Amino acid sequence: MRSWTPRIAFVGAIVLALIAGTAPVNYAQGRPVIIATSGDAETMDPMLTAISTTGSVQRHMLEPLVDNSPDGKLVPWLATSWRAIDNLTWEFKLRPNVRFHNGEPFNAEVAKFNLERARDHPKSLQKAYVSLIKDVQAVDATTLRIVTSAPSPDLVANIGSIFMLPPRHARDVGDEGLGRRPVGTGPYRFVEWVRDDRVVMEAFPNYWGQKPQATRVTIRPIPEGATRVAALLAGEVDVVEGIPVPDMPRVARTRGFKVLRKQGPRLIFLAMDTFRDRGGAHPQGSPGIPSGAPNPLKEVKVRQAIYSAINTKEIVEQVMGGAAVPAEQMLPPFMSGYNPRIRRPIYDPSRAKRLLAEAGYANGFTVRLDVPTDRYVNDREVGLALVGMLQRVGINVQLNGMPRAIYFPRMRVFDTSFQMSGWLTLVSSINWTAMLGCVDPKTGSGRANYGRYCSPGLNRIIDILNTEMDERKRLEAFHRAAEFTRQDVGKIPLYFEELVRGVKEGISMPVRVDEYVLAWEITFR
Amino acid sequence: MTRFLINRLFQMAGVFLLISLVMFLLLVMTGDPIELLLPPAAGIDQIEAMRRQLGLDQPWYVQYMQFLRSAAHGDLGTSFYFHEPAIRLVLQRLPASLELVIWTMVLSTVIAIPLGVAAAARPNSWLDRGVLIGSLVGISAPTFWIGIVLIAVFVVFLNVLPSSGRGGWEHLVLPVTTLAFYRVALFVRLIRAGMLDVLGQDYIRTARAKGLLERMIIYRHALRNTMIPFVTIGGIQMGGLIAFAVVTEKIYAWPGMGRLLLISIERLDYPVVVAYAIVTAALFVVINLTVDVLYALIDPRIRYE
Repeated sequence: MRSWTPRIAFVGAIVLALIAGTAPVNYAQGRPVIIATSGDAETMDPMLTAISTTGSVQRHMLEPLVDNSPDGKLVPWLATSWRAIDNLTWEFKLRPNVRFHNGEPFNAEVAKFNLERARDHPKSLQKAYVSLIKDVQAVDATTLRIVTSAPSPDLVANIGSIFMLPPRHARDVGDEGLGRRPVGTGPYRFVEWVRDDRVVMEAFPNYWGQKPQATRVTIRPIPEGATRVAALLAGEVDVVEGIPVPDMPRVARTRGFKVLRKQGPRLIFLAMDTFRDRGGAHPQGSPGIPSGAPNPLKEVKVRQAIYSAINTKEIVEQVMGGAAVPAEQMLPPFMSGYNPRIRRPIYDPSRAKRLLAEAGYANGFTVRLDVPTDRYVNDREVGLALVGMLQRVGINVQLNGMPRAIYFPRMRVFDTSFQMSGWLTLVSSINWTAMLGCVDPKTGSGRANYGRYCSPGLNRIIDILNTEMDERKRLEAFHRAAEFTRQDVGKIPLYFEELVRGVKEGISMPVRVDEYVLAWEITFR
Repeated sequence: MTRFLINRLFQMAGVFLLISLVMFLLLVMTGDPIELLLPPAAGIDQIEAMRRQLGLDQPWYVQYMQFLRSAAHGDLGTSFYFHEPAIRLVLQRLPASLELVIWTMVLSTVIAIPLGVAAAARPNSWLDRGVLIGSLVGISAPTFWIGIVLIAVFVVFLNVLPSSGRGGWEHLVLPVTTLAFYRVALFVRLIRAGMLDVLGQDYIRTARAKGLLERMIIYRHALRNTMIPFVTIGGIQMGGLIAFAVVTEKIYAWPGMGRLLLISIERLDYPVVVAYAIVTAALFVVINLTVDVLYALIDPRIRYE
């Protein structure tokens, strides 16, 4: 008889393999996670990018002095505390015993290097955040002093965008090396980057903070929304950033998957030309108003009429599929300076008609509405909805859609009478200054104020909230600014876009208002 | 033959100049990349500084001259976004696009030739009618729709294939199938029409009269004479695929050149778009040259002076 031993061994091996294969994964030891995003990072150097999907990838490996909580509150990170010594000086205490992935120590000299690099490097896209920094002093290894050229109550929030890089490494590999392979203090360290395909990172064993539950992260850029959803539903990825509006119900309905939603900070609003008196060719005339006709948008009652004629709830539900939150002011509830007492005007077309008549436009008027077509979610569709709503009160709107490459350059030179835009920062004062400050190229005020709305009263309030270092007085100024804008209708806020993520059941993570998707915030159940 | 090749080389240089000039003009006229590059918080002075730094404050002909001067040294510019040489970015993604294209051409040819020949050999049969209708669908169906449907069926519903990315053969199946739909339809019609034409010729009747095997007649004699239009169209299709399989690459997140082009056009990353155009032009020229050489091989009557 032939020996049974080899047969038993063979069967035994197969049985063992099957058992091993079906053994429950020990989640306590951590597990890998795959995140699908809408685009690949274009560089690993934080100074060279302004795109949030790129920042999100970098943030896994690089860290700032001060960070945002998922709800947008400032939290200590590589800086443990800070205070204003006087009107022009901030002092930061830095976290001790932090090392970079390559062993270099993190200290005040390192922070100084990075802040100065962001401010002085010719290619830096982050200058605006640190432009008010006059001098950075490394008092000792854990004490950093920043002197500003003017009172800067938002300095702490602004430097949250500056990620810390190791100076010796930066000198060794140069800008090119920094752009390709990041070395930071973060919970993950770089493993590989195959462009347009994946970024792979693994947990950094000597991380100063809490160890992440996801021990290995693969970020896969999948630009097509439908494919991202398919990848999630097929089980190929664990988290998906950005789900197309039509696919949201399907993911929510499918067993084993969840949709995470949260009000985001991006405000979509309407701006009106309050600068020019008559219609006509740009730049003397307002280009969206018929030539020679008076500019109705200069009248506050006309602006109030438009505001009353827009049914924001319907836009949010019908056009945005519910993935938006109606806005009643320029700031979202989670940002400091939000005024809880402000209310939207009730949707009331008859009141709108009455206001128009009182302003002398009983027969309505014609105006061109400029909208971008590839910049915001369903931007063109919202424009179409607005046309219908305004038609009902007698305002004849001609919709003019343009791709963003053409749209924004024209907006910047004010070649518009009536337009729709979006705006996002997490620093409240920048919102006000950019959108409603009187246009001043020298200071950068009004850089998103395409209608050139300028009210000396509001501008005074904006100056206060930009320079006042007393928290209480500052908050008061924010509230007054919101009330003023509501009365004078400097802009018409429409809604805030929602941030939408798709995840596998069993994965829990906060939705961050800075749009980052961070694997170290994932917890497994 | 040598003089012919040298002639072609000069033509190539001429094509490059023309393409680069046209791309330059188009880009310069279609918007301002600085707008899109800088974060919203950037001030006017920063915008102007960046404009000066990238040389975009010069009039277009100055920019073009600068471009030609650098191009003569092999430098086709640095991407505004990637901060890497534009030509390197494009060439890095060429292998991925080539992989997709080669398999698509192989699959399309392997399916289309026998099918087209069979249809031509049995005119008005069920096979022939089926091929005509099927190819009509293949030519008309939009790539985007085919891709999404294939993903819905094979990835989500049946869960047997991966949705995206580049990897082993299983990642190739869906993108190649998506691209092959149109190609198979096109080629099958081409072959069928060509064969029908050739099979009616006198020399075919002679061959039959001489008693040659039908299979010999079809594959050795008739098919060869339909190859010229096929190779021509095939060459153009191949060039088009390498450069412009943009939609498919986007749907399947395939890391090829097309995706790079799409995003660079969107954000007006001039250097990459121009580098792309030049690489594409070079590809087309090389493919056309190959096609012309193939002509000479296929048809002994063709000679180049």
